[in-house]
Amino acid sequence: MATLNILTMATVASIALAGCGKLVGLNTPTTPLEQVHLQVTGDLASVQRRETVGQAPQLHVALVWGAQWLPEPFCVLPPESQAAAAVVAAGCPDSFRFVPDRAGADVVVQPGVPATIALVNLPAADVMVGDVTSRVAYASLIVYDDRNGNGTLDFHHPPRHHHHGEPADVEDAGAPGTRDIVYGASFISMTLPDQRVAYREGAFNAGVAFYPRNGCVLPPLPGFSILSAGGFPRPDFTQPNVLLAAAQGQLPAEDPTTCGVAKLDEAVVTIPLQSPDGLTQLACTVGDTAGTTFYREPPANSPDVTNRAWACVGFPHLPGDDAGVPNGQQLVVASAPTDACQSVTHYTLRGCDNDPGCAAPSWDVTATPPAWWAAFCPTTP
Amino acid sequence: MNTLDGQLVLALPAALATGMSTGVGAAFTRVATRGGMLAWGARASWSTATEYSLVDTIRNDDIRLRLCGQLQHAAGRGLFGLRVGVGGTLVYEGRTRGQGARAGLTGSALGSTTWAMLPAADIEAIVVLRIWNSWGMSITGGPTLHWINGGTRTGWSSGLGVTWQH
Repeated sequence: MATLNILTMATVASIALAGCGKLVGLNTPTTPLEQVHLQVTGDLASVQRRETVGQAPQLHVALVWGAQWLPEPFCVLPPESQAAAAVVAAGCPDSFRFVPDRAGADVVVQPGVPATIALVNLPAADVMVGDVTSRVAYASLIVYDDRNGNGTLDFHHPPRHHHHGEPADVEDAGAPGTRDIVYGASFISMTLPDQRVAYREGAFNAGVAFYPRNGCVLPPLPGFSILSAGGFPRPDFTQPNVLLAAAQGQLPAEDPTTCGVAKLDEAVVTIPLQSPDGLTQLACTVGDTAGTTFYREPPANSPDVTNRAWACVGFPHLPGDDAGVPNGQQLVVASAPTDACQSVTHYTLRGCDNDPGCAAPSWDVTATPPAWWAAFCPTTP
Repeated sequence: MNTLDGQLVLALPAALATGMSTGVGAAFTRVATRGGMLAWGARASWSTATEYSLVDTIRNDDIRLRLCGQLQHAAGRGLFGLRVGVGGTLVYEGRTRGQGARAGLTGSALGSTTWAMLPAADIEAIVVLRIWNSWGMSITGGPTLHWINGGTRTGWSSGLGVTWQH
């Protein structure tokens, strides 16, 4: 009976206390952690793609976290011929470009009108570079015409090849008529003036060489900040010492007078509209971030080289470092100008997926190359 | 005849739109009429649920307190009944900003707590099966109704437990 009395009193008391607080539940207001202030400048009509003139552009700015990556050696080393240089020009993206990894916050913008991007979440650990005691993420603010209206910048990626057959994962470019068009970015390349959003946790370790800003003394602030730099001069990789320095992670220095670090509420990121022709790679991820070259066995039928640059070249190596360089040649074919992403496809008569000189090749048709091979590489095998 | 039972409780959270609240509860009922058709008593339970919004982690602890009237019928070793309860549910809501600690937030920006008492009523079907002497097991379940923020929210609750009858 005593138990019953206790429960009864508790119940009566609970009714008396009814409504003493207000519950929010899952309908909490989304309070941003920080806000990025930005302004898109310029006249879209003057840079708009011809095929989109007359259409109502849906300009957005996406905050895109960057990936750490290395270009493949063929794209960095001095080309051995004019044909190879044409393949590099057509199939290799800028080695110093900003490479997108993941799109974050997104906002609708109008040229000339200030806007803000609310940062509701922190960058995920996998877009940060460094260890847990000192890691950093960088983002570029990318202006794009959201042609498919899905409210996000759609990334494409170059085809991923296996050594046999067709590409395992063909380019996810969408229909050309609905591809998002990039019209500008706050961070396009390390060789151009940039403003980037940084998020730093712990100390700053310049040794990780993640979009390095050599010559800029001040590191990113803890938490979010806006970094700016004037861009360094493009290195001349035909000079062996310059190439060697770059291979050791020593990129040219920025002009210190162009360097800046600011809190988010102290800076406005300005993004000029520009011709989209040189910006398509800002919507392209990379197939391999480690700079690995993937080789393919030549197919039975000739690859389609219509409107594509191609060359028969040797295997890349640092000048003067010929040890271990495989014999023979490779056929390199650049992506077509209409492809959403630049890429180079490598064919070899013998080799493994990522090593043409492997001891136990996955394929070896040097004795019986396909009939079309001689038309491209008459001197091999 | 008095009945005391302790249960594991599964319920829809009183104040969250989704999720499942799990916990424990106890009830005591006492026969009110000579024929044993009517009984009355009280019931209390505690259960908790944690859910996630885009930005927050929300934990709700529901303490349900009810006065009960029970219509029941004994058949063999079993007891079948319909229990109507009225009372309140004391809700403790804890909110933690997702990634807030990593972002260096402190104080109310990092998290907050709220208590609220919600008037409530529920109906439960109850089945008690006497297994050994005074001991048996019980199964209960039925709809619930809470008044919250000027409106009503329907839900359900259920339980499975051990019963002692004397």
